[in-house]
Amino acid sequence: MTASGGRYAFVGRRLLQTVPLLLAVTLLVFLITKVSPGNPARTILGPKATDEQVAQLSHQLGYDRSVLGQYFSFLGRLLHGDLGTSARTGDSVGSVIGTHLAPTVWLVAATLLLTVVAAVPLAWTAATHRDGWLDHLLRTSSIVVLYLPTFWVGLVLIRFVALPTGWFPVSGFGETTADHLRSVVLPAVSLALALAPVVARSLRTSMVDVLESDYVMAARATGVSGWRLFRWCILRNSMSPAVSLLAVQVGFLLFGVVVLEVTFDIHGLGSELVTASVGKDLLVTQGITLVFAIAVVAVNLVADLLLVAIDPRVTAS
Amino acid sequence: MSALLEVTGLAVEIGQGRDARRVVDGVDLRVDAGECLGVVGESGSGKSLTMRAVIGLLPRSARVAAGDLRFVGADGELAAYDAADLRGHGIAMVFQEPMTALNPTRRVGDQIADGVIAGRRERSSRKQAREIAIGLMTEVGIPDPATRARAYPHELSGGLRQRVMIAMALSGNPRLLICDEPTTALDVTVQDQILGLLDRLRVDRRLGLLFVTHDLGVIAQVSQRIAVMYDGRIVEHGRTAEVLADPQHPYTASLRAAAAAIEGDRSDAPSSPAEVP
Amino acid sequence: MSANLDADRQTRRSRPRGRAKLVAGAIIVGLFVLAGIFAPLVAPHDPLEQDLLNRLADPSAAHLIGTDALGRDTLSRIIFAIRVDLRVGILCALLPMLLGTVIGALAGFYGGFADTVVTRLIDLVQSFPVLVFFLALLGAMGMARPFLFLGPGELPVIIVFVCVGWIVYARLIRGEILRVRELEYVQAARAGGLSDRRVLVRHVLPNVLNQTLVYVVLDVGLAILALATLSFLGLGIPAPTPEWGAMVAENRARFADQWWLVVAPGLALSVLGVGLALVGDGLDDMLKQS
Repeated sequence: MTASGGRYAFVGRRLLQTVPLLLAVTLLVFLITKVSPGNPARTILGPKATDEQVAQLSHQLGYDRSVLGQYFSFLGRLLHGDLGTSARTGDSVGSVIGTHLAPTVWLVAATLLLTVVAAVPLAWTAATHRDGWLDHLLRTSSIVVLYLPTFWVGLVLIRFVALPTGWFPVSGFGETTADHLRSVVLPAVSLALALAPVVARSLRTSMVDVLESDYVMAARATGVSGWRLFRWCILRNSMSPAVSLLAVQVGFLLFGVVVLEVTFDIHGLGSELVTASVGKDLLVTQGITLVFAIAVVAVNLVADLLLVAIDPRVTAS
Repeated sequence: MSALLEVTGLAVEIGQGRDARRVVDGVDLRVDAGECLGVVGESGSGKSLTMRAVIGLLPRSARVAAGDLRFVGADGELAAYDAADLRGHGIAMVFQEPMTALNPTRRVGDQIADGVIAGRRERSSRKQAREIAIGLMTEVGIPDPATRARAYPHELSGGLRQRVMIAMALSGNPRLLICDEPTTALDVTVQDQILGLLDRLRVDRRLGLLFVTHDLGVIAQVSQRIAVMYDGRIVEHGRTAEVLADPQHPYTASLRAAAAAIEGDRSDAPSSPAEVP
Repeated sequence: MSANLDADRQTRRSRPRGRAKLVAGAIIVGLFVLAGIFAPLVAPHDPLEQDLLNRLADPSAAHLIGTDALGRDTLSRIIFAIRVDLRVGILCALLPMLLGTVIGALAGFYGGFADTVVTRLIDLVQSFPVLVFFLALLGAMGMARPFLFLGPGELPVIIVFVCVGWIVYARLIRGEILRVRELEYVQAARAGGLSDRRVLVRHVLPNVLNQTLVYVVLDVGLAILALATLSFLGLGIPAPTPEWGAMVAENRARFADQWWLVVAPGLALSVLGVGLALVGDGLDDMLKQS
């Protein structure tokens, strides 16, 4: 049918839109190496190097060319997967990213899972008991929780949950899958605590709209009720705004993951980024930031595609 | 005649406490099996709220303040009912605007099948329900039902959507069908087809129809008896032909005069093209 | 009809609720502001004074929240930290507001290329992990020295905030200008010679003022939180300046035994943040109804 043709066109257009976005993102990330005061070659070689050595390295690394020229050569190297080497360890940035990727992915996945698992029932309860105490609590808490420092919440959980009970490790990511699972619980809780009420509030609002819609009344008129009503009519129709919201919040989510990796001493991309940033390891900083930036672009893309999958009417922009 | 539904002294209130307003007051209704009762009145006369009270789907701010609602049981006797237990297999409803009354993100065949699973007393699997749904789509005159079952509401024409809506209302095998302005949103030609379909279903299934509209022309076409509502009350009640020929209440007379004027306009206007299903 | 009734009921009920939130939040924020202004009078000790004989002291009458590993009084450090956090927080909310209003007004009035550039920039910043980028930038820029009345480490944080904070304000004012332009009486007034500047002052700014105020209050809280978080990571305010996030980081190693050294600064941060959130949310409730 023509409608599905429109959907393919939408997906195609949306994919095309990411190209200029990726270019802009790479430009921003590239600028990280440019705002650093002082000569980067000097930073690498240390204070004892002669001016000739510094000039030679600058030339080798292309630092004596125009900024735009440097950006294009950065793009060229990027296309070959070459992100440079770490100024501290000499490892390639690609391998640094590879070895630190897993804990970060675990944390993001656990946080998202926990957020959704908490938000959906909260939203449903608030939507079906409008103006009840949970509804009011959700409204206020969805704003207040954003102001709780996640690193502090994480530390409090370590001190008053992990230490006394011994159920969760105090730091690190462990060796086995079971270890990994236990070590992401508390950081994921810290972050979901901030994210879940926000998502739940958005879900609650759209659920109320759906509950008042004609099609829910029509479905109820045929005898559909309770869990079936929720699954057949409400969940899918109220999901779209929450999916968009999560996509917008993904930058916040990733920053939270960075902070919690430091808080819980989990050696993922986030804690590596902080170490590199503090230590002025510019290429590692740049590489990891690029990974996060591409992740955000990808999540936004996936969210838009999900919106099309959720609602067959979405074909226009 | 065997009564399906009997309403006595129904009152509906909107708002709470001091703000409460009685928008339906002292309404008596009775519908028999295989009979169509037309309820006519302008918007705001309380006719829609009366219907929603019967099927137990009043809006949040409204509630039944007084009156008895009784429905026929398995023993053939009238008894007070809990609407939640009757929806689907006892009482069903066709809504005015099928575009908004159908779930936009679910295939229409699945929506009818949902009604089959939820509305019937006997258990049916999803597969059986789908087959029953396709049978219902055939019954309401949807051509090529197996393909159409996979369509989303926005992919169908207005007439087909309303047929889907009727199939959905029939999915629980109800005995009483409430039709709330079911043809108002449709073209004139499609309107006639839908009215013909409802009339056929009434005869074939011995359905009781409770047909709400503001259009006297429509009511004359489908109903045997008529109840005229004005300002939350039934002001006139009787056999359709008699009420329309000799209205006793001034409000009915003015309605009839207005309808006649509109009818005159309409015959001058070009008729809309026939719908291709 | 029924929808209207529901709306009426909400109006009557959420106005006093908005006021209650506003009052509660204002009391919290007011106490913090006063304590910050009068820090030298309120604080029992010098926040930088080290007392090496009295390291890691338990809470007592002399040191209500104990002392840290260098023997500095925790309560005094928490109180003095208000100055840094509020100063940076307010600047990080006000400067982007000014910049965003100007950019949004330019985009709204001149349209065309300026508008395209601004909308593209907005799209870009929204599909970018802004806070992660901050962190990378701050490391690359290094801790700046004190600048005018700003302490060490404050300027870079403010710069990065200005770079992204303008977006909400620009979008707000641009949307309002586009809306107001379409109004007949404004078009008539412009045809009659009313300048763009006067349209802005007379018809646009009054409409966005309320929402702007809410955003600014909420942004002050978010900026303070971000500053503390960056300081916790070692990329914000450098030692020895007292700052809540930095204090949490400094005392982390003592957390198992002297837990109050970590809990107290975080609690101060949370309470101020919640206070600001309540003010913003309460204002929002009240302004939406009027």
